[in-house]
Amino acid sequence: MNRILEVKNLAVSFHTYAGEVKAVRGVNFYLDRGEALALVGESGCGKTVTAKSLMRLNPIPPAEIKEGSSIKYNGKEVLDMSKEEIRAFRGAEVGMIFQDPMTSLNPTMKIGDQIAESLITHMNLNKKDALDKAVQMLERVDIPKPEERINSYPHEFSGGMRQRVMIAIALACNPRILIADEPTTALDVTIQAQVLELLKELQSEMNTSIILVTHDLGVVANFADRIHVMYAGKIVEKGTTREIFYEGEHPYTWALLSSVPDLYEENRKKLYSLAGTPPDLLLPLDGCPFASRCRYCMQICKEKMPPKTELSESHSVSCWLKHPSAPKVEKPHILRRDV
Amino acid sequence: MLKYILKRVLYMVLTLWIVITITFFLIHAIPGNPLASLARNLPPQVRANYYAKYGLDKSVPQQYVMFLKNLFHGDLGESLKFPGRSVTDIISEHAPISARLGIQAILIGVIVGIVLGIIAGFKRNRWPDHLVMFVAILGVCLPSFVLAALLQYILSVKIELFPTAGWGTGKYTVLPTIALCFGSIATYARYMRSSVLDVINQDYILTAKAKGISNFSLIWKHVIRNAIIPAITILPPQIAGIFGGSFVIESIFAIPGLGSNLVDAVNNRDYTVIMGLTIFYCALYIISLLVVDILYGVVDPRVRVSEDTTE
Amino acid sequence: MEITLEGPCAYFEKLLAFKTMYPQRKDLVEEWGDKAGSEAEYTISCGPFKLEKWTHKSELVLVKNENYWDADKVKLDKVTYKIVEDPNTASNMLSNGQLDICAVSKPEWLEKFKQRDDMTYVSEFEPSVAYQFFNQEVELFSNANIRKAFALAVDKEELVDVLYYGIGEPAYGWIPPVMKVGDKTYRDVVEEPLKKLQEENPDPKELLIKGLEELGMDPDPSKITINMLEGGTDPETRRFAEYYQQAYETALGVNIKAEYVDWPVFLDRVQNMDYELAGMGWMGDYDDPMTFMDMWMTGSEMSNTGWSNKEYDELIKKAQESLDEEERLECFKRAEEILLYEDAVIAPVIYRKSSRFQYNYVKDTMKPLFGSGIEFKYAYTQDRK
Ligand SMILES: Nc1ncnc2c1ncn2[C@@H]1O[C@H](COP(=O)(O)OP(=O)(O)OP(=O)(O)O)[C@@H](O)[C@H]1O
Ligand code: SF4
Ligand SMILES: [Mg+2]
Repeated sequence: MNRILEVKNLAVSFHTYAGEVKAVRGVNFYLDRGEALALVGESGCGKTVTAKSLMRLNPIPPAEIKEGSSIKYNGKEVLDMSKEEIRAFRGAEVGMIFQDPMTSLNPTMKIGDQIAESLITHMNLNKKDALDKAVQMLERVDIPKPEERINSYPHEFSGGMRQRVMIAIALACNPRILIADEPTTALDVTIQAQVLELLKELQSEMNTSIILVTHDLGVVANFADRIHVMYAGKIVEKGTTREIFYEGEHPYTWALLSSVPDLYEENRKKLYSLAGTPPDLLLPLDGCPFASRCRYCMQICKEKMPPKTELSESHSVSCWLKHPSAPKVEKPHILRRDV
Repeated sequence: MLKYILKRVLYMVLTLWIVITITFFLIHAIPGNPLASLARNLPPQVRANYYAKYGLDKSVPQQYVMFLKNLFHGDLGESLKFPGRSVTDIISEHAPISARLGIQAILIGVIVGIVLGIIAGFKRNRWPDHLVMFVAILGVCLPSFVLAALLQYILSVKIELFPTAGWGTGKYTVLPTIALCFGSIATYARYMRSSVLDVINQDYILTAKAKGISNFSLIWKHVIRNAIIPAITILPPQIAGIFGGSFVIESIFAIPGLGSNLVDAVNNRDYTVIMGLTIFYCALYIISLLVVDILYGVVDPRVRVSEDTTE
Repeated sequence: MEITLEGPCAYFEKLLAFKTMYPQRKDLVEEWGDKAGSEAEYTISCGPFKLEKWTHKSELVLVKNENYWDADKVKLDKVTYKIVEDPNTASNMLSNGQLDICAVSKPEWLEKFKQRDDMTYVSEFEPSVAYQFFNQEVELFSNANIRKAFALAVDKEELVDVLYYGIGEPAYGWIPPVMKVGDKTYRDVVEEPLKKLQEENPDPKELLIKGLEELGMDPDPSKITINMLEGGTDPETRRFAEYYQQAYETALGVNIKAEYVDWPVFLDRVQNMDYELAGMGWMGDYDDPMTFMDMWMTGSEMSNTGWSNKEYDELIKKAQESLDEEERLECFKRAEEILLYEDAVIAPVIYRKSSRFQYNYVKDTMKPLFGSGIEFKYAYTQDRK
């Protein structure tokens, strides 16, 4: 079977003093072998919570995975795994890279040991072999003089190098899925490109599937096979990279696209600007979550959640504009141009 | 590293010298004469000889120079109050007793405090946490001498489990050690708890969890190791606190330690003993500071490297 | 051994009990020098016990001395002295039997132990008096009537109860009740001088005002502030000082300011006459009133009041040289009268007593007046649990 991961109806809440924060509200998606999927959305929309849920890394409490959620890895329900099973799953089957390389490495542990750790745990290697493998991994992520560097501590590395080390850690056990949560957000623009390129390379080399989480559509253009756009804990539009870039149908997708700087340089000033803030996740949402910021908002949008409209086998969108009785809306002019 | 330690030792000597000088002039500035009660009944000539013997007939600066000279030769002088007892005798006889008590108290205080703090941190807001925090608050509020009196009354007078006071076998050290280390346990438990909570929320813990390593590795290598580092910095004040607390505890449990000698010496204006013990305590404290610094470097690689680069 | 006296001395034998008269081994003292008496190994004894072990600040262990001339009568093999500074700890140790004998002075413990029927309370006179004294170089105290006023101002009966928890007797004389002249107990035959003074002057305040007028000072006592020097800074010293302060203020209407200094400072200040009013205790060294009286002679190192009286000096001199006990007693009697009744140089307050509890199984302990603590020569234990 080609389908390696299947997420159905995933809903995650946080119980805080202020009340229940519904961070993820029923998310569905799948991942195929060797495929790169991008989760895109602005800050706070629930991308990280979704990504962490895949490895059950959200602390419970305060987090709660809602009844009815399902995450199937190779047909096996991740949410039902025992403590031992989930430990064997983490690191070995799925690896994860986090946003901030400056804080994601243990400051008091040698780089080599941090890579070797999962090898010792999952591959039954002894310390020496694990360190040899760690040297290889460092080599693969282009760290110079890896034999020496395994004895360094994180503070002796630059941000870009640390993120490479994170990649080495995540891929050490050759996992089938790599989750990269904004792996380049904290890095310089030039280094961002290098790191993405490295990820792409390793992905094809190891035939790993990747879930790339980002708020920047520009990052995924050349990277992802498919893109899912998230807003306020929901996926509002799904499609292949082509479909999203050229045939995007959701007003929020349009907003995201128009904020990609390199793409539509000359139209900068006419850009679809997105005012306001996302809805408060503490409050119930009856209508379209985007309603308060959408320039096409209609009466129905505020009252009822828009249904999902399938546009193609791979492309779907949740917006009342797709309703047959909705007024025809002209897409922003930027989207009609070739990239 | 060697250069670094050498430099530190030099600073230590300097600090020690400053402390010696200040103490020397301070105690000579306090009114009251160490020989007043001893030499009270003596005829003037004998009294003069007596004062001359200890150099007390000379001016204070002269005495200071004399003192430094003798100190340089390792001679701390003789007690004014108990002729025939040299300060080195007093230290070598009583310091091991205080040291045993102090080391026991520090070790137990730090280890138990750290363990309790870790438990409280991991079981946050559950009953072990509440229990530990209760003990910690008690330990911070309850002065050690009150606890000492309480322990003595309950565990020795009411239930005859331990000797009331005195010094001998290990049994004699139990109550004073508890009384002495309770404050440290409390401080350490609270400190460790917040340190653990802080570390648990660090990104690298998530990284470690995502590796699927065992709980033991996670807690030991990632949480505890990082949580302990800040705890080391509060070691010197704890050591100082235990020195201070030992004065009272030694008196309550009639322990022939150095503390009660110092208290007596101050009351008697026994200049030589005060000076000798001040130097001793001060040196001990400075050395413990150095040890803690070195320890800190061992545990925290970030400190180690920055030292190497500055040297 | 032979001792040659420069002149006659009626109380010579008694003088031998004085610590400075204890025998010494010349060769060892010379060999040891300053070390003599500083450790058990530098100690030599000729008594019923010898010092075997001395852990400084902790304990002294005495064992039976086989070479003692009367060794057959010594029953105990070992006596251990525990050095315990904290009175609560000592009481705890007594109450659970870790101590057999213990001096107890804290009132709450006194009550408690007195109720136990396995213990005996022993309270005995010591050759000791606590007294207040005045610096006569201070104008106010140069007047005898003012000193008398102060000497009568304190209610000694109440003071013994309140300050000393009843351990001791109010002192109206300078020679304590246990002292003897020859075989006669001095206090049995000599009336306490302050009793007479008190009868004649029921209101000490009048004496004070009279004295102030004699000095040509403002007769209003409330305008007077006197500095009272205290040799200690601990709570116990403060308790004492506050009591005296309040007693003087109520009886005389003067203002008293207490100044607390450490003991060595106190001694220094008193020696240098740098005080106005102060108090301390005196412990006799041998069993003759002389040990209390010669200290007030002109030129004595111990007298720091600025007082000098020719008649007193001559009386004491006579008592020193005379071999006639009757004559000596008369000398002391007259001298004490001058000291307290006529000149009120000092104001005795209390004849001090020792106080200890011991378990009933401890038998035949003795507390010699002039020795070092309890004598165990004949002591033994019986039916110890
Ligand atoms: N531990 C937590 N307790 C309470 N609320 C939380 C917790 N973690 C996340 N949330 C909430 O869940 C929502 C989604 O958070 P998430 O971190 O998934 O956002 P994100 O899309 O990754 O944003 P960013 O781009 O800033 O990383 C946010 O509103 C956040 O406040
Ligand atoms: S449903 Fe309405 S509010 Fe929501 S995105 Fe579509 S048009 Fe805008
Ligand atoms: Mg995020």
